[in-house]
Amino acid sequence: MRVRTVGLALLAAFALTGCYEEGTSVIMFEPGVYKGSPDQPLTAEDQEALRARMSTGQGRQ
Amino acid sequence: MARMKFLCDAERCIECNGCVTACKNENEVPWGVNRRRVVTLDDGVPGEKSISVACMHCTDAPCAAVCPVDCFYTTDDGVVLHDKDLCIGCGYCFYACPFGAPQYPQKEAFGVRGKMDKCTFCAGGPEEDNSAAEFEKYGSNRLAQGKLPMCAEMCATKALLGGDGDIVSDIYRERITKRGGRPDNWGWDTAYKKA
Amino acid sequence: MKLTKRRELNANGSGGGLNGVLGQAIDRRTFLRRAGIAMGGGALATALPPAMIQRAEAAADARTGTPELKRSVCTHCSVGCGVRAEVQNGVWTGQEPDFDSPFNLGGHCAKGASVREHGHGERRLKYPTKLVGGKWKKISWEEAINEIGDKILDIREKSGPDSVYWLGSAKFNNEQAYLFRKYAALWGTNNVDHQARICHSTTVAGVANTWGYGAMTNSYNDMHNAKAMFFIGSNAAEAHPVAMQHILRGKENGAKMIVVDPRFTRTAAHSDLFVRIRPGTDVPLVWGVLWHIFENGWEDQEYINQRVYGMEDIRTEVAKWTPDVVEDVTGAPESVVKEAARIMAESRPGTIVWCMGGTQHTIGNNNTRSYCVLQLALGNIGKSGGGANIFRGHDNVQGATDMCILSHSLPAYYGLSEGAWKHWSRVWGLDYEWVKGRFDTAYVDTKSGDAVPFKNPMNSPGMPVSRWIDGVLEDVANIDQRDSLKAMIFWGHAPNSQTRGPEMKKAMEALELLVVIDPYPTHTAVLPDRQDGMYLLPAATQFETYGSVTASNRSLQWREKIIDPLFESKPDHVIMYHLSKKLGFSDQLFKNIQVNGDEPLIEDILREINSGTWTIGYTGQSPERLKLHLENKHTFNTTTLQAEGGPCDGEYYGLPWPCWGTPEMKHPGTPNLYDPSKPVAKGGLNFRARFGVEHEGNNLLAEGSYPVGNEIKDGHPEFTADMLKQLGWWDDLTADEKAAAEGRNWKTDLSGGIQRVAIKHGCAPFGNAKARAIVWTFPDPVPIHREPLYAPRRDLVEKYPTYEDRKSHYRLPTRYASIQATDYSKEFPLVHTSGRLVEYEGGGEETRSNPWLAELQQEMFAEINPADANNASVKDGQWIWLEAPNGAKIKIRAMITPRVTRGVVFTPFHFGGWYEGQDLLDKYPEGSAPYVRGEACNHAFTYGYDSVTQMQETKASLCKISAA
Repeated sequence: MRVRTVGLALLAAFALTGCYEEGTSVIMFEPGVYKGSPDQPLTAEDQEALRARMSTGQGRQ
Repeated sequence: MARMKFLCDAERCIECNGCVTACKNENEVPWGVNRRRVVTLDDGVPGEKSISVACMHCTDAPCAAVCPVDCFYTTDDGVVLHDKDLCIGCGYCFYACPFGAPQYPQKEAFGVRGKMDKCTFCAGGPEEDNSAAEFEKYGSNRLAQGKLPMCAEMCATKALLGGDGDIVSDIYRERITKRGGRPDNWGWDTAYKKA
Repeated sequence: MKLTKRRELNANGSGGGLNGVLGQAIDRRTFLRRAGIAMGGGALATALPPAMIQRAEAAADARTGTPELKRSVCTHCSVGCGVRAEVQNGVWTGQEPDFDSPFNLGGHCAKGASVREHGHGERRLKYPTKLVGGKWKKISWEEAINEIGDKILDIREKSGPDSVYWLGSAKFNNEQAYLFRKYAALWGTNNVDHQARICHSTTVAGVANTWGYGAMTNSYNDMHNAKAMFFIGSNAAEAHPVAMQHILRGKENGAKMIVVDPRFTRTAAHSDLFVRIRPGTDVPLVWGVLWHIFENGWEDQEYINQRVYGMEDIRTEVAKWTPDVVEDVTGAPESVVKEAARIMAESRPGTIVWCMGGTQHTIGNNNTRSYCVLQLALGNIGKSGGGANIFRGHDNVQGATDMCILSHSLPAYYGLSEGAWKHWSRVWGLDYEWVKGRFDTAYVDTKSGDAVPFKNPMNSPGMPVSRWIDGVLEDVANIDQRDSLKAMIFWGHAPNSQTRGPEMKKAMEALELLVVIDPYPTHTAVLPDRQDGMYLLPAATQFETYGSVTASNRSLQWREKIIDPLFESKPDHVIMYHLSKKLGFSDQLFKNIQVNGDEPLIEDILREINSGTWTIGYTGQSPERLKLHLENKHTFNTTTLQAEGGPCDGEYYGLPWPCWGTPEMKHPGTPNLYDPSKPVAKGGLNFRARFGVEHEGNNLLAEGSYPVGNEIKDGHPEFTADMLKQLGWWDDLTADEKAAAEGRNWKTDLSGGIQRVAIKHGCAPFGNAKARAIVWTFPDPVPIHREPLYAPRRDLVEKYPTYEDRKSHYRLPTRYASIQATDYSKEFPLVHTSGRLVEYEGGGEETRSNPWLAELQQEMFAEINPADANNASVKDGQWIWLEAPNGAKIKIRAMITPRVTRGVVFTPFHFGGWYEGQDLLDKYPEGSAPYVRGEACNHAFTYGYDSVTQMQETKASLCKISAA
């Protein structure tokens, strides 16, 4: 009797392990650290272009 | 290299909502979400002033400070962005923001907020620049195309300026000088008010 | 991952943002957002029809490849902001600021910033639709044209061509507008009109009769040079927002801004001096200002001596308007009026700006003339920084007015005389007798059986749009045409911009045929309760076609086509081709105009315009010259509008009319009218000699004032062939020019030689005369004050009564005194006035169908002063009934605000789609209802028509309010 109960419990526990998702993509939170996707920065040329655009665009009189 | 800044010249703002719809046009945010709004003080009485407000891209951003999953980051140019994949929609950033910039596309009745959405200074977000995924999640990335935020570029009266903070200051400073103290200097009425 | 789908429009706002944070700031938008969130969500819950989903997906996938750049002009107002469109795979995927445009320098208001929605908007008319048994049924274009054509021909047979009313549009481009007027002429009627009638008709009549042309004299950009700006009945911050860019620049250059308005508008918020007046008291206010000017000798007497006639009669009238009288009538105290006068006198040149607040009255023509007289007294006309800067409304109302989609004139203001018809018949290459034969002649009186000659319908003005309902409902015996109106074609025109709603519903139900040709269904589609006899035809918007458009400052801009017509819509000129073919006059209509398939060639139409519009100088703006300006927008100086270098060097942007002579003459356009500081050849001008050379023995020609280089060095009459001979300049003409010009004048010489030679000698072709401050052909030669028909002050009605009733004006009996005789002021104690909102435009269907705009103004409302609200026990945000003396009532939200003063209620006019409390959503064809619907304020506006132009009185009526 006892063996059967323990055996069923072990079987249930074993079966339940199948319920775990593929947990390989868990992001572990670290306070104050950004863990999102990286973003491409603007180059110096980009910034220069934006400054020029400001003057000829919004700054145009 | 200066930080990107917005400045709304309240002397020129006429509450036309051009900035509001320019943003909706460019970023295609849904009904109910307005990344930019115009606030009017003293509506309908002398002294009425309007000012256009969106995310101010704070140097020390309160939204970033309180976020429980740290989904915010600031670019080298001072633009404050966040990763919607990390965002849990808790609403804490809205609580912290002095300008009410964070918006939530509420769809269900019982307080489910959805991912936070806010003004990105038309700089997109942490997806590949100008990709379909970036547009879908964050709207347009104009900075990566060499253009400035649509709201500022389309302001009817050039009240709203957006771009390199140094140049914004230059333009505004010139206007102030030209106005020669208009609206009338503080205290002018005391000295010169006619009976 | 919960993401927000890009195109889903069924999301309710979170209420996030600032309205919760700033609890105290109850501004208009906060108020309406709170009121309308639930409503907005519900309105959007309609499903997309299958065809739409396809289009939306196509748009999503379209963002591939390098975008094509297309350049157009905004379709909403007369500032003419440049629009840059990015098109990928035929889909309009992006909009960019047009920094190069000297008009807006990249800026847009809410409407301009959202025009891209036209490229994927779903709430449009998608295919021709017919009303069958009270339900909308899809039909083909062929069926539609055939059925409509057959019915119209049937009505022509039974009742005559005048029984069909062709109501055109201020949103046609110039070519479509000209074609439409020609179309109506060849159909054989003068029952043709458009929005200008109900907008600035009193301006055009009043101003043209003062100094020659009825258009804006300077430009928005020229306001940088003003030292003072006087706004009366103009709310530029909401109606012409981008003009405020130039106005505020002028202010920053030192100009003082005066705003005169019954409300403290968003424009008044930027003013230096705000003058609040009672609606309808413009003349007393302006005469009050002029009283101070004359009293202190601030007028420019030398200017008056040289260039103005009749100022003495004005002085006599102005002397009656002492400060106490002015305060009693207008409500403006002496100190404020005097301050306004002082500012205008001390800060010159000053400009005056007016819009509907001044024009929409029974004495509209008096108002507009008083504004002109004020500026003449100050010597401000014909100067940079001065002028009468009339801000026109729709994007091409200036062009449509110039092309005269008007019941009282042929294109270019030639009028309807025999000479005018002969001129245009020549230009059209048609036999005058054939054209004449298209019109109705006499008719047989059904009672007596006699042939009754009535006013020749060819040479008498047709009915104006403001009165079309009377054309249907009035007793036939009282109408000056054979029969009443049986068919009404609303072609690009909304009905909720006209007054007397209950009667309009009846009129629409009484018609045999009602047709709407528009990109949107408009309020017409849902107002009447009909079972049949109604058709809706989808027209394409101006972004789906190309052509030229005229901004308020008389500049013409070229629009490129951005996308192909959406769904089954067709551009207006294509529809005109189909209809004219069915009705049997397309050969004549397109005699000199190439038709490719079914599309008339726009460039050919413009060339025809160039060949015939000598009166106003639409002759020099050829398609080539306009396209060159489009390519080189960036070379134009943004204050002077003159190109500095580049291919257009020396020309003014858009070649503002008059651009004299043929395109080969290369006249640069006239930036500021009547400015003698430049030679005519370089854009200078003087006042027109339009009213004869003398009046009652007095010289009407200018004395000692003439443009630089004028060889006559004085005033002179308009140029004729004979005059050239007398001056000894006849031989300056080429042989061809002589042949064409013999026996003709500057208006009818199709070679342009007379104009060329006159200008060569420094003379304006139209003569050099004085402006006249009195118009002896008008009901009130000297502009005087008369109380509105529905008047709040009976004591003033006695002193300043309205006109006597008229038996026939524009073919219809028109009432004045018989209406004013009744005292409505006890039962309807509040003055009712109307105006605009920045988010919407016109009848509103187009803009309320744009979700980006609709979200910002979700409910129809009235602005009510707190005192009046308390008197009526009405609270902020509450539903109220606003009732009018004509029995109409509308159900709207109350907005309690001190913006309006005690006793004045304001309603915005852009809403439609409701009728007396009932949302008419179910009456719209499937999938075409605008997101936001509301009561039309004009439903509750009353009878009252200008004594010269039949403009309606929508700025001063009476109403009462009560909780709903």
